[in-house]
Order: sequence, then C-alpha cells, then structure tokens
Amino acid sequence: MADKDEVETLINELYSTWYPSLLGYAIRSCGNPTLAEDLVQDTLLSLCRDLLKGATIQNPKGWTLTVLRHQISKLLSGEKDRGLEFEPIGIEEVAAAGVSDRDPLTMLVAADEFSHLLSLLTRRQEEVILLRLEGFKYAEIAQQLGIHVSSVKTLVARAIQKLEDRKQTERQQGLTRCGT
Amino acid sequence: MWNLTRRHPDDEALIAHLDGELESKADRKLAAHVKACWQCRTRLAQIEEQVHGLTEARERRTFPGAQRIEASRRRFASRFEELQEEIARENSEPAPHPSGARRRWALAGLCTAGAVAAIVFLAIWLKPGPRPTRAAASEILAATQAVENQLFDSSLPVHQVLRVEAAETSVPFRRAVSRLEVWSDSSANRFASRWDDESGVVRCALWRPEPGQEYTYFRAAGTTVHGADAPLFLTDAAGADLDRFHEAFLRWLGTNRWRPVSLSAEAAHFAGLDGATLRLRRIASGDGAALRLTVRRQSAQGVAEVILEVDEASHRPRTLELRYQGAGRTMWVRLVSEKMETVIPALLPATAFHPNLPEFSGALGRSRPPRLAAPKPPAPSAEDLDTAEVRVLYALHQTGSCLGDAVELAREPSGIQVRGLVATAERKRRLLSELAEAPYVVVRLQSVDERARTAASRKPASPLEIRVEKSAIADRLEEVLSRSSPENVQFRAGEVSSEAVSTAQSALSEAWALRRLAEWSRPEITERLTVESKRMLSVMVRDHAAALRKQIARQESLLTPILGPVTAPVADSGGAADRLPQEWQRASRTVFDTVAEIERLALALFARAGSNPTQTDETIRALLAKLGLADSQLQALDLRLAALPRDSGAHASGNRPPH
Repeated sequence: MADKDEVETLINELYSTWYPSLLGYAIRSCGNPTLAEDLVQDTLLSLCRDLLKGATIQNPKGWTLTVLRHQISKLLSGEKDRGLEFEPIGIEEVAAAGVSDRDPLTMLVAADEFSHLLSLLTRRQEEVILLRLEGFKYAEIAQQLGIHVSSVKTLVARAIQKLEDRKQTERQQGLTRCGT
Repeated sequence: MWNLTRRHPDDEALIAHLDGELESKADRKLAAHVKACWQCRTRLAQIEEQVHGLTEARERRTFPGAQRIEASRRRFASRFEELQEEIARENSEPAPHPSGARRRWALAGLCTAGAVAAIVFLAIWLKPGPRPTRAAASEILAATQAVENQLFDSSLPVHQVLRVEAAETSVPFRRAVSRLEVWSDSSANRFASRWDDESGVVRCALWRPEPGQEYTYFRAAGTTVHGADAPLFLTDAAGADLDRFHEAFLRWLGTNRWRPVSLSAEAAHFAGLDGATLRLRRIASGDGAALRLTVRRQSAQGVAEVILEVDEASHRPRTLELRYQGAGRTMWVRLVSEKMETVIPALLPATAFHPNLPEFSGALGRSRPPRLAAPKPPAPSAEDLDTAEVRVLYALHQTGSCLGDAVELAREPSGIQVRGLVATAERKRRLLSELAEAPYVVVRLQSVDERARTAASRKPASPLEIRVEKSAIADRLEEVLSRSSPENVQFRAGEVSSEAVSTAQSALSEAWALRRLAEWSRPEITERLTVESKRMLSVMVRDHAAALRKQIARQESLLTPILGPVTAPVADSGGAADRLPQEWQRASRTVFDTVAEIERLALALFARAGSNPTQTDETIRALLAKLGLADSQLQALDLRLAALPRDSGAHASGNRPPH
C-alpha cells in the first residue's frame, strides 16, 4: 500500500508534467473549462484514493487519462450528471474544491500552439499522441486505452497526417496571400 | 505495412520504424529499403519534421501557466487532506465479523447506535440557535432576491457597476469585455444606465433625470426596442453566439429600463422555466466562502446553465454567469458585480442622471415620451467620413490586412464601403467584429476560401506550373558558404536565397502600406481629423516605419557578410538621406522607391536565372548600396515622424499582430 508521502510525491510530479495535458484534453472534450478543472481534480483524487487503499497502478498517467475519458463520456452521454462529486440539491462541503477562477481557461487554450495542434485531432488520436509524447511504447498505450497495437499505429499515423495537412494548408494560404 | 504496389512502405510502417516499434526482421528490411530509396528518406524526414514540430510546441507550451497549476495544486492539497481523513475514518470502523450470529448482534448494536445518534442529532437540530449551513437552493435564491430588493427599495440612490464578459469558447476564441454602470434613485424616480464597450465607447445609455423626461441613446443606428421585460439570457442554446448575446443585451437594457440590475431576478426567471433544475454548492474563493447556485436546462439543442454566485454570509450576489453548450459551439456570459452600494445624496455626482454624451448634446433638455426610440442618424459630414475611414484603416492595420489583402475602401456620401478579398476566414471575422459598431461603415468582404469555392463552382482550376531554375547568384553563394563550412552548402544557399526574397517582399509590403497612408494623409484631411483619429494614424505610420526598419536591418545583416566578400565594398551612401523631403508623406514615397528597388534587385539576384557574371556583380553592388541608403533614409524618416502625435497607450503599437 502506498503511503501518504509517496502519493503526494506522485501527485506533485503529475501536476508538474501531466496536469496541463489532462486539463487541455478535458477542456477540448467537454468544452467547459470550469467543469474540466473539476473533472481533472476528481480524477487525480480517485487516483489518490485507490493508491491509499492499496491498489497498484503501473501507469498513473495512462490511468488518469482513461478515467478522465470515462468521466467525460459519462457526462456527455448524460448517464450521470456533472461527474462524480455533484449532489442534486443541498450544500456540498467541498471547501477546497472551489473553481472560482475568473480567467477564461479557454482563452489560454486558444493561445497555446500545442493545444491548437491537438485540437485538430480526434479524441482517440489525441490520447495516443499525448501518451506517445510521454514516452510510452505502443503496447503500453494499447493496453492502457484498451485497443489493439495496430490501432495505435494507425492512430499515430493519422494524427501525423492531419498535422501535416494543416501545415500544407497554411503554406498554401501563405502562397495565396503573396499572390493577391 | 507496404503500400499496394509493395514498392514503398506506408506511413504507419515508417512511423513505427522511427519509433522503434517494428519487429527486428521487418525493421531491417525497411531500413535497407530506406537506405536505397530517396522517396522514403524524404518521407521519413517529413514525418520527423511533424514530430519535431509537435514536441517543440509542447516544450513551448504556455497552457495553463505556472500560476494556475499552483492554484489548482493548492486546492487539490486541501481535498487530499479531506480524503485522508475520510479513509482514516473508514479504517477506524470495526470490520464485520465473519460469524453470522455475531454479525446479527453487530447489526442490532449498529441499529441501536444509529437510533441514539438520530435522537442526539434531532435534539441538536431542534435546539434554538444558528442552524447548520444546510439549505435548499430555492431558499438561497429567495434570500438573495430579498437582499437585492431591500437595497433597491432603499430611500438612498443606488450605484451599480458590472463587468460584462462574454466569450465564444470554441476555437477560434472570441471574447468581449464591457462595462455597465447604473444609477438609480427610486425615491425621486430618477435613473441612468450606460453600457460601454472595452475601449470605453458608449453602446447604449438611458437617462431619466426627472419623472416624465427620458432620453435614450443607441450607438448602432436603427436600433429599436419594443415590448417589456425581455429576458437577458436567450433560452435556447442553439445558435447562441456573441452577436446574438449583444443583441439580447441591448434589448434587455432597453426593456428592463428604469430599475437597477437584479442578478438574482435573472437567475430566478431562468429557474422558473420548464425543465430547469437547481443545484447548490459551497465553494472557496479569494473573497471568502461563497454559494454557487446552478440552474440547468437541457434541450435537444444543447445545455444552458445559469450560475449565480452569492456571498455565503451576506447573500449578496457576486456574479451571474450563463453557459451555453450546443452542438459544436460553447459560449459563456458573465456579469461580475464590481459595485453595488447606496450613495449619500450629498456625494452623488451632479451629472449622474443627466445626458452627458457629446453625441447626445443636441437632444439635451428636450422631453421625450417614455417610449424608446433610436435617434435618427444624421447624414455623415466630411469629418465623420474621415473618422470612419481612419477607423477602417486601423482595423485593417490591426488584422494585418493592410499588408497585401486586396481590400478597397470606397468613400461614398452615405459612408465608407469596405470591399474586397482577405486572406483567411478568421481575418474576415475579426474585421467584421472590429467594424461591427463603426458608424457609416459598410463591410462587404470575402475570404480567399470563399472566393475559391465560388470560382471552383464556375470553372475547374488550371494546374499550377512551377519551374525551378538556378538563380543568378547560386554558384557564387555556394562558393562563399563553403568557405565557412562545406556541409549542406546547396541547402544553405537555398535557405539564404529564400530568406532574402521573402524579407525583401515583406519590406515592400510594409513600404506599400506606409505609402498608402502617406497618400491618404493629405493636409486638408489631416487638419480636420479628431485627436483620436490622428493618434490612430500616427500609430499605424510608426508601426509600418518600425517594421520596415526591422526588415531592412534583417536584410542587411543577412546579405552583407555573404555578399560583402563576393564583390568590392560599396560606396558610402551618406548624404543621400539629407535630401529626403521634409514632409513625412513625401519622404515615405522616397523610401518606398528605394525599397521597391531593393525588392527588384533581390528578385533579380536570388529568384531569377542569370549567366552574366559582370551583370551579377553590378546587381550585388547596387543592392548593398540601396540597403545602406534605405537604412539612412529610414533614420531620417524617424526624425520627420517625431512631429506626429505620440500614442498615449490606448492604441499601443504592440497590439498589432506580427505579419
């Protein structure tokens, strides 16, 4: 069973390296920045809960991405309203879970080149690319996302093709501009 | 793995090869093929370029920023502590005994303990004194309405300031921030409200200085408002966008006139609609604990949520937010209460309830029936047209359209017509948005894509023919470059040529933009411009002059070290700059001629084939001389531009996007 310090260290590391990817992915998937922040925090909290209760999680980054994906899918399909931590009526004591930031996160997403590139991809392609960028092997990605290795290969190739198409379109627009 | 003709591996195989994901035999086979195949090597390089671009973009990632990560981490730390306590509580509970009899006893014991706990809880609950913080959402909404009504019914005047933020959160992101100020004196039946956009321009204003005397002002000519009590928020999520919101906001300001803005009333209105559900949460914020009341309404078109945040202690509303989430589009609108207070009459500004806009001065003192009507727009004067034209020029400048888009400005008696072709749909959208509120401006623009679609429907596009020839200077360039390093000489020479041509063309675009402004700025026009228009003009001219200087310096630093050794040193061009005309308009024309010559020479050297070495030498000398001359002329132009009005910050040149 992981102790408190180990879990805290892991969370700190995830916040430094993985949180931006998770948050960007959540915003692009559900379109609501406030909700996305809630969902990412809920996901990280679920990870902590499982670890503190003795679960062994080999690949926390992949695990969080999968859990987040499920939460968003649930939300979007309307199976469960507003994720895990919402109660229908009554005051919920989640003093620290406030999402009272005023800055529109989406503006930051729109201004970020990396987020813009990822927004060109489908959700599955984005997941595969995010994990590949973290250095995971195709087999690990396939296992984590519950798909076949050949699907990972195809998703990576299509993602690269999309990025390339976009670049070509930009170049063509540049040429047209010169010509006007 | 390999494409259908089995001659080359497909992208999947190439990427898997790069990622080290191929089995060893297949990998060896592919490596051997790639070694011998130029086509596949090129494709590999292209794939690598995409991967490289992606990793570089991730390295440069600015989202969501260290500050926001830290804020989230802090919030998480607090939740993590709660989680630990929760788990500790779970662990401290006795584990159920496997024996059935004992389990029954334990169950009976648990029931007894539960009953005792319930009695104790009820005793505490029914005891007089402060109740625990548990209340239904509707109670909180009612309490907030009571607080607002109490304030608005006060015998003292009320002053409200609200920040209005609205954004479409789909990519590309659009956001608008505006400000609404309200003065209300219910005891004397006086009222005033004023809605300003981000730059402080009034979009709508209402005044009632005394009963029976009412004034309205709508910036957009032709705005009319009918009916009463229009809801602020559109009730359907379909098609919700910024433009529709602004329309709704104007309608709301018009029909909900003569009373302060009640955030809770808007939330209550939404909560009263069919199918709306209410939810309440307690949240932490920098201003202390707050309650967040969410009214949610789902329809086939999408989801709409109205979120009211109120102070937990006082029940005063802090923000009212609306979120629409429809198919492919999301937007939110947020009204942030910056001020909501009563004012002692002695401290009330004298002009609070009186029409005080210059645009409205003509109507001051005239009593109007209490029916809203837009003032009839007068025919534009020459000064109005000048102002409108400068505004259009400035919008073109801000969007980068002034550097090559085929946009034409036609001055007609009724206003300025803006028509033509812009490079991208995004640029067209930005221009439309910038000029939406501009008086006397009619915009008819097409993006290149739209034009291409129209053209494609008419006739098929002819294939593009590209001929590649070696430029006049290619051999000599390669020779010079090989002296520093013999590697990739051909490629490096190509890069230098390409940069030289693109820099020259960018410089010419800037020079054209400067020349157009110079030709437009005839003395008879500039004399009658408003201070604001003069400032805008000054910003544009300075921007283009600065960009031009940058491009020329870039060209010089690129070419002088390379072409310097190729040919003899050029004669000093000093003194030529002194002959620059004194008026900046004429000086700009001279600079333009020099830059045009630079572009011609750069194209002749780097983009055209040539075989005469003597001619090439002359061209190089002429190009270097012109670069030196342009540099001196631009320095002299700077001195001429010093006479133009300085920017006070409202139109910082930094706002201009890099072109």
